[in-house]
Amino acid sequence: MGNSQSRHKKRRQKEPPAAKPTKKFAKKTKATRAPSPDTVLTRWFDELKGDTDEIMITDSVPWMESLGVSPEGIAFWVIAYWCAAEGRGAIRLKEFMEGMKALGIDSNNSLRRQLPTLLRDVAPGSDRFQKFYWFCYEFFKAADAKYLPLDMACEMFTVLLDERSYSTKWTPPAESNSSLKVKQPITWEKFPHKHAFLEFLGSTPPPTKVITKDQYRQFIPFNEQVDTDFKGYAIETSVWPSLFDQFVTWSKEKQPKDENSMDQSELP
Amino acid sequence: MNRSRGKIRPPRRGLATDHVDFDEYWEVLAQSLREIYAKNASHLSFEEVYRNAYKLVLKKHGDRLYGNVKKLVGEHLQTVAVEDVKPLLPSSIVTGDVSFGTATTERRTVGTKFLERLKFVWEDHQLCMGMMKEVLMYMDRVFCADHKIPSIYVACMGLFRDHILRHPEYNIGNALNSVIIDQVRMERDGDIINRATIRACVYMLEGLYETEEEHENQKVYLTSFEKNFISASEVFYQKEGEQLLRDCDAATYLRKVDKRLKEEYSRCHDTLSVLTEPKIMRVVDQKLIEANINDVMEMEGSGLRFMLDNDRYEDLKLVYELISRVDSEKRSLKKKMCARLVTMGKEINRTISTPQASTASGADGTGDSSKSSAAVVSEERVANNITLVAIRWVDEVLALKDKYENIWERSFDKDKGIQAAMTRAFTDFINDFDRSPEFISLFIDENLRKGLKGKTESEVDAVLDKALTLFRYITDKDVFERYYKKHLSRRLLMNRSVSHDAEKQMIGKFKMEVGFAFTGKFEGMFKDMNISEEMTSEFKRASQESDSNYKKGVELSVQILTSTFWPVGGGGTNDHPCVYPPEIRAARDSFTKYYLDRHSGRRLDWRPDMGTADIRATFKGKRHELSVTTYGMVILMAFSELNPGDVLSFEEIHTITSIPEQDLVRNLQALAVAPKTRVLIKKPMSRDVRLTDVFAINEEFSSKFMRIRIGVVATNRAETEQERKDTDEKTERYRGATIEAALVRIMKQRKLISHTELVNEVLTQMGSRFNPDLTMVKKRIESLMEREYMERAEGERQVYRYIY
Repeated sequence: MGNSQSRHKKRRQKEPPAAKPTKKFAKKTKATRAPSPDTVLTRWFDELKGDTDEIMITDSVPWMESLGVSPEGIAFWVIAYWCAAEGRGAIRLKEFMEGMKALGIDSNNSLRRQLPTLLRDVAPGSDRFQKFYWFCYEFFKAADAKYLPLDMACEMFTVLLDERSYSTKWTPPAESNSSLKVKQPITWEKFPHKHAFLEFLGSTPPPTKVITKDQYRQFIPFNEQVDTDFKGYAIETSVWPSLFDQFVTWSKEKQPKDENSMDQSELP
Repeated sequence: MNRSRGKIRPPRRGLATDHVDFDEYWEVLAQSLREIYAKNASHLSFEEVYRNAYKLVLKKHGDRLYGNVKKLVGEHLQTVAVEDVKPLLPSSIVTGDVSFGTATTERRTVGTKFLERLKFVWEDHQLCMGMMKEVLMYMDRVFCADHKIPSIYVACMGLFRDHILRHPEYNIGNALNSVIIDQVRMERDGDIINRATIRACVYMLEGLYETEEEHENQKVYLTSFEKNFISASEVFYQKEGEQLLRDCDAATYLRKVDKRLKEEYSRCHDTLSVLTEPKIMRVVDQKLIEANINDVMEMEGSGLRFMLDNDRYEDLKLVYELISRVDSEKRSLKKKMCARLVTMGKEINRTISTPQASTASGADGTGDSSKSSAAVVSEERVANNITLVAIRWVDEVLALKDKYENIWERSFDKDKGIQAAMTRAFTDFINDFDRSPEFISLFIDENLRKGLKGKTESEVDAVLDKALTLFRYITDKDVFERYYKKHLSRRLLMNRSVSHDAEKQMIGKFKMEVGFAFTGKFEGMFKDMNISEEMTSEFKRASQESDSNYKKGVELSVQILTSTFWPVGGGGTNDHPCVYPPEIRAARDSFTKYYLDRHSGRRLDWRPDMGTADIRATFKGKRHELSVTTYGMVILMAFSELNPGDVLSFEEIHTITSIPEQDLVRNLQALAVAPKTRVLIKKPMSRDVRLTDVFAINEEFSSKFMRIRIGVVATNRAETEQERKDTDEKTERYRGATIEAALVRIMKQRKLISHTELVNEVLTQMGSRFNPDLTMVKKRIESLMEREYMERAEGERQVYRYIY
């Protein structure tokens, strides 16, 4: 089963929703069976959904607030992942019901209790992180599109590749912070290339207008396998997407310059 | 029986029982041996002496006898050393004072005398020992063999070594070494020495061994003499190398080295031992060749460059031979030669492209007023010029190739490695020049249009082969294909080709070289031409049958071109608008109908920019047949309706015909400016056609020819800058598609393949056509991944999987 996971996009998505986060809840499902769970879930879904028959991102704002998490965080994405949502940026009733049943959740309260676990189980370093990360690509790209628009991809890199996002206490950073953060050399991070890469994508003229699936997916192993000083990275023979080759060239050109500018700033 | 037994036994018994007094017997024996030394052996009785020795050995006195003989010989040799050899020892050599005080001649005589004496002593020793060996045969056979000790002969040879050569006081051996080395040195310096004597002494050294076991590699010659000789030679050749390098030019240096090699070789065979040959040759190789050959090749004004440039076959042959001695790969020669070759080649590229670049920029300068026809025309002039340049380039490159091929044949022994290096060098500089594919195609074009006229089949073949030689060097075969197609189409459509046989021959050569995929389109073009011919005559017949009105004076001859074979550009009538006169339009429409009826589902585009027309006209009562382009015909037809003397302005012509401005300028240029074909007159008279000009029929036109060909300057065969840019773009697009096709083909076949393997496979597959850029290949792979033809295999990012 694990093998067929990436073989075909469609097949992967038709797979039964990802198994329960922990076994404890699976047992609980059998125990709480009193009122027809379908009715409970349908009623709950109807409360959450917007004008369409789906819970869209816009509809998620009050829901997330009621769950006590920031609507700008990734909580909704994670819930969509656990529901194995197929729709672009929305959860359908069927997905919602199957997902919630599998998780053993039937109300906002039980969801709020389990949310930290749900988040933790897809955080970077966990077994599911990659699946979740890949899921987000499909979830956010437009139905007929092949790529993610650059700005959206950048947002996703920023949030998804940050362990702090996977907490119910996460709040969007203040505006002033974000610009400072880019310049901070963060060496302890799981994704050491993230900041530089975002800066590269934001450079003018932009190196690309879209992020392809391959580029999106390969960015994780790129962070794991390539040194920050790009030692041993041979552009000629690299098997990385050529956008990464460009990134490496860009970084190498930039590094000595940075040192120079620092030297000059220290002179006076 | 008893008697017969006794007959044999008694002497034995008698011997066995008789007391043998050793000293008595030995005294007799020793006396005999001394007689041998005294050369008085003739009166000795061999039998008697032999029996004495025999008895002693038989009576178990073998060891004493052996010892006594050795002692006797040893004592004799000591006397010899002191009395015979020592007086002749050259004192200067013993003390090590070689060059000072004694003149060469003196040294030579002293040395020779010494060697002669030694030779004498040695030969005497050998002679005497030979006799003694005979006498003491029984001892050797029984005593020595039983006790596993060296025969007396061997032992006495050892004594000679120890008592004469290694004499504790006089060190005769060292003196001998020095004398021989000194003599050799004299010979190297040009003196004549007594080789035979040296030879004899070397024989001696070769006949002596370090130990009595007489191991072959323990010859005194090897252990004591040769080492000294080699190191002395090293010093000598080291110095000689430095000196030659200082004093000689490259050719002299090489000759000297060659002479030295020959000398040393013959010295080993005549004077010294053949055992030394490989070693001394190595010394010369190292000191004279290995150490200096690079400097020699670099010598200003006489080195490799000079030799190559001036075809010094003999000298180059020497370089090759000498280098082969020290490096079977001849790396430095290859490197230096190729460097020169590439420099020469790039020089050709540079001189060819420099003047052209300046005229091109001049054209660009006037091109600012893009409306001005001057730009168009001068651009064309540049282009025509380029054809000449291209031919010069090809000629020069071929000349360079011939030159180096000659050198390779005559001086480099047709060495395979050097040939490969030369090929690489040619490939280098030819591909370094981005116009080479175009130039080579132009060269072929020129020959197939004019150059081959009146040549025999074998001459034609030779020219085509030359072109093919250069074609082989091109890595971007696809670019060449594009140019060739363009030039071929022009030849076919304008009917400019000298001979279709030659054309086919050339295509056949390409096919042999790179296969059908490369020539398929060329062949398609020929096929189109044949089909068109049939089509034209069939259409004519059909029209005559069906339409009695057909004879309207317009005779249509069509060339139907399959758009994928021909470089006809985007196609579509809109690209080449032209308003035809009604008669022509009728003919055109009738053919279109005829064609589409027979081939449904096809599209027929008319290309007025590529056709020609023959029109009849009468000037001053004389009939002429004008062969003009289709556009030219349309322009002239516009005047046919006018009254004599009426004029048409440029704008008016443009409106009537809708011919694109540039084409219109070109055609008017041919009709109204070119002096011999001026059927129109232009006001004002000037060389260039301007938008404000006014045209009229030139009533005064006259020509002595009935048939006049009014060519348009546009038949330039080389590309203009703009065209070149287009070609480059097309090439890029085409390459992308080709790479993608190859990728899919490979993926389909392999299903699962690593990135490196895939890229390499593509590079090999494309190799015969062009050299793909690595980034381009990668981008194509990524694009195929995006379109889900392939993906990265799970868990192995370096491996791709085909999606099917």
